[in-house]
Amino acid sequence: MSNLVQSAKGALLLGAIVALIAVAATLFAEPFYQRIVFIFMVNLIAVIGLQVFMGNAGITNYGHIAFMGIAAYTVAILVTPIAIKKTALANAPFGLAGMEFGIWTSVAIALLVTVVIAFLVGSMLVRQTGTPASIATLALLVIVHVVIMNWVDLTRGPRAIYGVPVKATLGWAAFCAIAAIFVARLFRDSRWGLQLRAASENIAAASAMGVRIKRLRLAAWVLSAALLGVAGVLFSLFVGTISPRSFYFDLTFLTLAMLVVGGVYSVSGAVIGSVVMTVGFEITRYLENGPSLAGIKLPEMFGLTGVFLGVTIVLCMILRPHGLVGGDEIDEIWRRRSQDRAAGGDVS
Amino acid sequence: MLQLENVHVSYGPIKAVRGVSLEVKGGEIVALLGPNGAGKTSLVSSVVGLAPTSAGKIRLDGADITGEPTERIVTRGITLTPEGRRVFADLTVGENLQLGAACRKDRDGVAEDLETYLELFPILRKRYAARARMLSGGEQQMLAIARSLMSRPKMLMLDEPSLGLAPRVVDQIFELLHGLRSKGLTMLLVEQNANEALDLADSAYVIASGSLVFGGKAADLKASGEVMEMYLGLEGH
Repeated sequence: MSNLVQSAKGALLLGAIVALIAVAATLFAEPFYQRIVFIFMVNLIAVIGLQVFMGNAGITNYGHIAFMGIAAYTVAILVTPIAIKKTALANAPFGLAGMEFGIWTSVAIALLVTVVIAFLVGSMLVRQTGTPASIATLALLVIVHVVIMNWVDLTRGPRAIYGVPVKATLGWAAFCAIAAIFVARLFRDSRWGLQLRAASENIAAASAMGVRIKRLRLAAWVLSAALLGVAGVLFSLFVGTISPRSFYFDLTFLTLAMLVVGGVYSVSGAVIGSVVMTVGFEITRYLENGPSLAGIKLPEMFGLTGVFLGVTIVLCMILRPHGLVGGDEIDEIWRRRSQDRAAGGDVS
Repeated sequence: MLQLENVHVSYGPIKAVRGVSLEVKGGEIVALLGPNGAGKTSLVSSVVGLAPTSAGKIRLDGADITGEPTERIVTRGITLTPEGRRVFADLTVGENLQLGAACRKDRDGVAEDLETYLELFPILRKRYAARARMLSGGEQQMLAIARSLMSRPKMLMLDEPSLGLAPRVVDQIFELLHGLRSKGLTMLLVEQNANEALDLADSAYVIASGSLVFGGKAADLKASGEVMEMYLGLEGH
């Protein structure tokens, strides 16, 4: 099918950008910046995962980071060495305190748990549309957070789990990000993705066509959760220490801002939004600490990153409501514009 | 082909259709007429499972399809072109046409039909890769009809295809429907444009306030001055 070839080409273009960033970071960057690039890759996967559901189903999602948290905690609890568990998770239920799993087994189980929970939650969630559905996703985020905070035997509650083996590398993160781009792009342009996008634009017409909207929404929801699971696993295995705060509102709104600024309706938007927001965020973080620029000592400005996030979203909503990229993928933009022009200006 | 027996459609306490029975025979064009709010849209929506049938039976070729999910009914060969040119404005003409075949699994057949309809609607071929929003009103209605045909229906239900179109464009649409009839497509045509619809139709039904007030040959309806005047606001011939 020619349109799948086209979307693979588009994914290749975006993947090349990500690969370039990863290679440049590996060759030239200091460890501090490599760390930033790794976190960028994790956030990118999360944003792409968010795009898969939000962009195709047209439902604002505030609960995506819950799946990242579930996967991160699951892999951490499984893979942490028994010696560390003796002090950190001595009372873990299901005999987990005395068990230690291999890295791949842990990753597989973590992703499986994430997908199963996503399926159960999604089966209920897809019956709703619009704001009620969005509120349900927000509730999911809060519920997962509360469970992690209070199931102290399993998660250490508000205290961090430490001693997770640091196994993830920048190479793996970049590979997963590129794979996520391909998955998201192929889903978007597939028959299913097209039907789902059509339904989010005009639910009455899509229903008349016999599109199975709930089923497709569920598919997008579960696929989205799986990608967020990958992001969570990478985060856990790179940082080595996780706490409930890592998977709550801060990350939710950061990833949402990345997607909205880039453009919800395309994978290109997810990638470009992540790049732009990460660069902007790092610059404001640098300014926040009051550095000296050209001999002038700037004051410390705590909270500047938050201001940056808010101002960027507001400006974006005013100036480019569909995000920097707009509704189309970057490889489609030129093609579409020329076709629209050929169709003439008789807009009705 | 399609039989409705005493069909009721209710939205909670509101009764939109109160016991309508009608029949569409294979190869026929049936006009469903009536004033605004008479329940025409509710009735055709209930046939494809988009509105709740609270009582009565809907049969397609003898099989009871009452309450079946839309995708099953579309697969059985009956498709609704909804009111108001509901094209997917942000998607391309080509994507719109592909979506019409959402319930079909035969890829070769879909490709074949696509070619057929691009032949029948040259304007859609010309604007295949353009977004549907760039089309004129009449072109969008052509696209909506072609999209419905992509499901390869035995019977097509059209809800107000002439709504909001210029008279010249309305003529084009009716010409197109004439052409589809000669290909043997069965049609149920919901219209406010009673004269044009009756010229095309073999038989006609008139509903008002959810109930049937006339059912018979289109020519008889045209001759019946009383019904024409009372319910359709037209002079009888």
